[in-house]
Amino acid sequence: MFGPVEAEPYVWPFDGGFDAARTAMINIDWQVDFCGPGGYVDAMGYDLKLTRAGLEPTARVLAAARAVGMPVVHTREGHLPSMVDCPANKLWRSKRIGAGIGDPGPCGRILVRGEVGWDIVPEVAPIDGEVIIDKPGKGAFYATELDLVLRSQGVTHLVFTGITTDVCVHTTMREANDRGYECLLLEDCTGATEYGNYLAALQMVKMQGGVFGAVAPSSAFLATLGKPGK
Amino acid sequence: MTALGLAVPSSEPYPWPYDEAAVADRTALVVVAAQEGLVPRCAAAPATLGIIAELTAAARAWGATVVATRHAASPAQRRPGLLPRAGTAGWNLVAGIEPDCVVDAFGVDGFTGSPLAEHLAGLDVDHLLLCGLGLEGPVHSTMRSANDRGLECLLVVDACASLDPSVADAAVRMIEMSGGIFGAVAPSSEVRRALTLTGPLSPPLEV
Repeated sequence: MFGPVEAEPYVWPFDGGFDAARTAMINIDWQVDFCGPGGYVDAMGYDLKLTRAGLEPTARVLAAARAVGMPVVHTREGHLPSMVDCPANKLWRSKRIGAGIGDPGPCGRILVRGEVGWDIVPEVAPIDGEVIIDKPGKGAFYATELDLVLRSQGVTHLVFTGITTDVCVHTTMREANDRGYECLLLEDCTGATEYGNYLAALQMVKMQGGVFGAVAPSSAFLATLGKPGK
Repeated sequence: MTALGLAVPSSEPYPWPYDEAAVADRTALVVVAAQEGLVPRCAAAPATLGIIAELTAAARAWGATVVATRHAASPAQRRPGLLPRAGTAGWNLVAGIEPDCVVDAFGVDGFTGSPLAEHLAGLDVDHLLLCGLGLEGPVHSTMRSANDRGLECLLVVDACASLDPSVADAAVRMIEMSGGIFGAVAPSSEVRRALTLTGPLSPPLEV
């Protein structure tokens, strides 16, 4: 068991401590499409520095999580090459702003499974034995096997990193909290396409006593694991 | 363009809906978490509930189904949170909210532990107008899940009461990112105007 983590708005987890084997690190959508040159977020004209900011601390946490035996789950957003799992309104909106899902780009077809842009970036790439969840939407629980995997492995606590804070990370954390998982978001291991939305997304986790869980810097989590923060 | 379907051309960041016009028998107004227990958590709840009542009347007169989601803490949730336990006073809908049907959810998200998705599918509804208590909480979670399911969503912004006014503007901006990542946003004045300008009938079939 590991002791609690100094977090806000409460010391995490609420039940006092966590067992590495029952605590999964959930890495959300660290894909070229969201933080790499030529990917979807780049095509929409957002600043990649914001979505890449969390990569280095996430890599440190990932190494520590593997060392203590935490299960690691990676998620990827992407559609089938035939696009039959892409809602018509999602496709329409993407084309309207000039970054059409399924259209060719510098990293292959945008948000399509199997393309270069869909890959997880090398800094935080999965290793053999780690679960990868492919999802068609923003939430990693909808239309995927994530809940089955976590419950089958006895996982009760989740530690989140990934992008983007206000979209896929928040949606997934909301789904997880509703399902009874005790959630921690590492604030320096995530980023959004707009800095103000990143800050607001952190506040929305913490509001009303921790509606969706708690937030901590990765240094606090690493300190609890007995690992150096830098 | 047909005058018979609902369109809100001034909505942000795109003119809702994406498919030009919503027809009444495929559209629902979803009143999210308008429950006694949420009222003390949302400072603007009293004024917002008045706006919701007016919006409900306009949507019903137009012909849309009015669905209320009633949220209870999930039996899986061990940490005390935002939501009342089922059957307690805080769980009841606020007086004056009169939906055509009530869907019970066990979570902040109206789709969690609830038959909401199946209920909407059974009604053949694929366009949603969203309002309620807890803009950043139950309303946002429900809109996100509806959008992941392909439902075309319009947030009626002043018909939503904020849990934390310091993040209310950002909660709206988040919806409008990336060309409308969860749908579109419009004020109730524009939505009600569109509802009263529009006939309840489906547009004629194009042959």
